[in-house]
Amino acid sequence: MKELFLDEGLEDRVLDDLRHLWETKVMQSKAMEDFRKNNINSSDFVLQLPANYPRTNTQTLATFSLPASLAYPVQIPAGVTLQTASGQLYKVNVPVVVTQAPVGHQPVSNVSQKVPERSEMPAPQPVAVAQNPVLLQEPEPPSAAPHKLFTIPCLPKLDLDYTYSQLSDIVQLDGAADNSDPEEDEDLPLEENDFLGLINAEAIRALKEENGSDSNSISSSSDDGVVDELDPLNSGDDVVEQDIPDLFDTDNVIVCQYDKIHRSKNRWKFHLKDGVMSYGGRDYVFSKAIGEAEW
Amino acid sequence: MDSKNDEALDIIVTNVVATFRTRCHLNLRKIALEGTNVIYKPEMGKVLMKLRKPKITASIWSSGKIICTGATSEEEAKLGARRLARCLQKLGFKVRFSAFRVVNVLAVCSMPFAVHLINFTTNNRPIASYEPELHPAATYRIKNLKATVQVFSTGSLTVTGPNVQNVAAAVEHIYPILYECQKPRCK
Repeated sequence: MKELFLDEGLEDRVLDDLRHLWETKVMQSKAMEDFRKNNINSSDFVLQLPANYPRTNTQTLATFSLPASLAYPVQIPAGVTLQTASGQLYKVNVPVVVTQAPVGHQPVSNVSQKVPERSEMPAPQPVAVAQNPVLLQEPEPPSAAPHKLFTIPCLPKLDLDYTYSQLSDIVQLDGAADNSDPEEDEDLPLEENDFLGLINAEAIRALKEENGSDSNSISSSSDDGVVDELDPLNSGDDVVEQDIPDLFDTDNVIVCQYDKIHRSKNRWKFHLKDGVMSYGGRDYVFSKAIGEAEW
Repeated sequence: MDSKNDEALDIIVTNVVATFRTRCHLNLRKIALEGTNVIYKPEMGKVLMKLRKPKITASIWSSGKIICTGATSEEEAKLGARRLARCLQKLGFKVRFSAFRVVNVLAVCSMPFAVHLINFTTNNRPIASYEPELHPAATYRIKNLKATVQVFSTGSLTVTGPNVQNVAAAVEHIYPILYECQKPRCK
């Protein structure tokens, strides 16, 4: 990481400050569950350019306003152009993540990984400042609402942590929430792309009604025999309770998206992407995973 | 009447297909999400549910019709079907096990001799058909039993019929016919 920063011409001290900043942030995020829920009205984020930035620039601070409706953290990919209140346009070279600082937090020494580029590009609209003609991309006007100060942590890892903490809050409603398959950790129902178990409220109601009326008609409660009323079939207490319910319940779960799932007889092959695996109590994140299993 | 020789032929039932109805509409999505060991095939409008014991794969349609395949005997098929209905009931559907019917039984058998297929088909012209370019076996259909026997030149047979009894009868029926057209082994 240090090399990256050095390449950009930034100082070591800046990296350290950033790390401190990030640590406090993460601690705070743990303390207050959901980071985002903190009041988001509108937003400014403060971009502090490194002191030794080669180009002219009298102002070391640029304040940007982002639309109020954005949910944080915001990722600004490379190539996007941001506009300050004063009309100056900055093009983002390196992807940036904007997070919301706790109230009243002053970004003391703020590091920007973003190197605003003043390229000689024709601007579609007249630019106020003569020295930097910049390409205009973002149409969003600065909002007039009260501003908040934001810092730009640039460690990509931060992104991941948000995902993780958010993921751990997600309740899994599908299949057997714990996996029964001895070799593979993934639930079959997870085959549904992105589908994390949204059960219809109506279905639940219908189910409750069914259960209510069923309990009257079903013979035994403990055995729960199959209720057969039709032609050749007698009602069943003799009928089969599943004797191998689930081979064993584990807590190993994978939550992900799938590229391809393939099966031949009882051999399964999985090509998965973008997921988190909880295995043996530890969590692993992956962008690609390939698995094989026998059922 | 035993038309076979003294040796008994081993007829091995390899697959029994049965259907039944649950008499209630099934919400496939719910089964797919909450059931265990299920494969959802929305493009075909069905859910497959596999059971480990008995080793059975069932295709479940939303209308409540269920086809059960993979059993090795008729009793097993019925047992598996009931287990399946049980599973669905546990998921919350008002399942009533009805109209259970074995649709198809597949068995294999091996003759102690090889068969000369050309002679065999010539002798049994309308009932037997043999198209070596399409399939290496001769097909012999027994109309009254509604069974089909496929005879391979090695003497192996596969028999399909509506139930196990018919299948056994078919083997008995065809044995003498094959016996006549056998190919001497040492050729």
